[in-house]
Amino acid sequence: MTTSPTKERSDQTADKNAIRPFRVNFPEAELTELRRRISATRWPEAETVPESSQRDDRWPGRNTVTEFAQGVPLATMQRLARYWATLYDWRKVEARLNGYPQFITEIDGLDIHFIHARSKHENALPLIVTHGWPGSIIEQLKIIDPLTDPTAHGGKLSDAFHVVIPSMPGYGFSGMPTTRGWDPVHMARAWDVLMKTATRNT
Amino acid sequence: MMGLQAPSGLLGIHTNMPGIFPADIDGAAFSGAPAPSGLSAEEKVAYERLQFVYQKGIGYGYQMGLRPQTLYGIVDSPVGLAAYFLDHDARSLELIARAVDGHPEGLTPDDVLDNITITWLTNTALSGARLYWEYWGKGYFNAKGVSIPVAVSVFPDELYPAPRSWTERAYPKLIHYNKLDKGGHFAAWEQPKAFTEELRAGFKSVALAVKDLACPIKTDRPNPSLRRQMLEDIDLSEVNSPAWWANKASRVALQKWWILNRRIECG
Repeated sequence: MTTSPTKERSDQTADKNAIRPFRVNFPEAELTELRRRISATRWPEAETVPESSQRDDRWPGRNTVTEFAQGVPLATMQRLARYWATLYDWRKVEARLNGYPQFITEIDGLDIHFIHARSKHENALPLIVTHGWPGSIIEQLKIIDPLTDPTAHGGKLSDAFHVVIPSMPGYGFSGMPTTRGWDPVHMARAWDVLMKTATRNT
Repeated sequence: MMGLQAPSGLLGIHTNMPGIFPADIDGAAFSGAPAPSGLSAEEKVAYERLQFVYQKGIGYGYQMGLRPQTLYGIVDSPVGLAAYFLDHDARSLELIARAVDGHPEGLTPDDVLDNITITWLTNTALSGARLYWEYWGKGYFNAKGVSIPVAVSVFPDELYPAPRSWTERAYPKLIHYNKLDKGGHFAAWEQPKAFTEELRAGFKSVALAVKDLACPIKTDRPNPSLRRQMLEDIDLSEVNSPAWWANKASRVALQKWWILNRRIECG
C-alpha cells in the first residue's frame, strides 16, 4: 500500500485510531524542481574574512577562528549545493526508509508518522527515540538495526529493543498543526499515546 | 519531557542532551555574567559552553522562538534552508563543513542532505520552526525535576558536556552516566555504534537499579500460570509514583517482572 506523502488529510470518516501503513514515494518532478531551484540560487558575497596569520593546524587552508564566526561559510554552501544539484540521490534514502515498516495514526487530531521496527526477539524492550530541530527520522536510521537485532551487531539477546521512531508534529510526514499548543509538553503526551497504540496494534 | 510526565509504563529515559543546569546557573549564563565562583573545573567548562550557546550560538532560536512566520526564505530556497539547518551549533557546523570538504567523520554530505531534502520535499521548514515559538522562554537546558530513572550519555561536542555533579542533582534516579570520547549533538546519527552501546548500557542499568532494590529473589523460571499471576501483581499505572517506589512489595513485584521479561539474573 502506498500513501501519498502530501499533507492532504485522509477521509475523516475513517476510524481515527486506525493505523495506516505508509511508504515514501515523491514524484520525480519534485526532485527535478528541487535541483532546478538549487542551480538557480542567487548567492551573496563571501563572509568578510581578514587575511590572517592565525591559521588552524587542524584544518589546513581554512581559518576556523574567523570563517565560522559569521555563520555558514560561502565556500561550504557552494560545495554542498553543487553536490546536492548533481550527484546527490534522494532515492537511496527513500529506499532505506521504505525498508522499515512505517505507519500513520491520528493523535489529538493530527496525523503522526512513525517507523515501528519490531525486534524478532519477543522480550525486547519497547523504546521510542525522538528527533529534535533541525532533524527528522533520518537521524535515527543508523541505529535501528543494531537496536532491533543486537546479536548481529555486537550485542546480546538481552539488548534487543522494539523501536518506534516518530516524526514530530510539523516535521517530515507527520501533519502540520493548524492550531496552537503542539509544544514539547503536548508532544510528549502524544508519544505516550503513540507507544500504547503502536505496541498494541502494529 | 516524557520523563517529567512519567506516564504509566515508562520505566526510564535515556538522553544525550540532558537538561541539568540549576536555575541560577542557567540564568547567569544567559545574562553573560562571568562564571560564578565555587564551580568545579567540569562545571566551569559546561557554564562557559552554555554561555557561548546563549551569547553567540542560537540566533536561529530567537528567530524561530519569536517570529517563525517570517521565515519564508527557508521555505522558498533550498540553499536558504540548507544553510539554516547547517548552523545549529558551532561544532556540528565545523564537522559538516569538513565533510563537505571531503573529510567526513560520522556525517557524510549524503546524511546531511537526506535530512534537509526530507524537510524540503515535505515543505515543513516553517511548521518545524514553530517548535521554538511554542516553547519560547521555558528553557531547554535547565533541570526540570525528572523523578523516574534516567540514563545520560555525554558526548564531548554536544552544546555543553554535562558534569556529573549537576546531572546527579537534576536526576535523583540517575542510573547511568558515561562520557564518550567522540561525538556531538547528533549522536545517534554521527556515532551510531557508540550511541547504540550507550542505549544498551543505559537500559541495562534500569534493570540493575530494580535488581538492587529487590534482590535476592529466586530466579527459577515459573510456569505460565504463575507468570501471568506475577504480571497481574504489578499495576503499571502506579509504577512511577513515589509511594510505589517506597513500597518494597511493589519493587519485588517489578523485579519479578524484569526477571521474567528481560531474563536478568539476580545474583
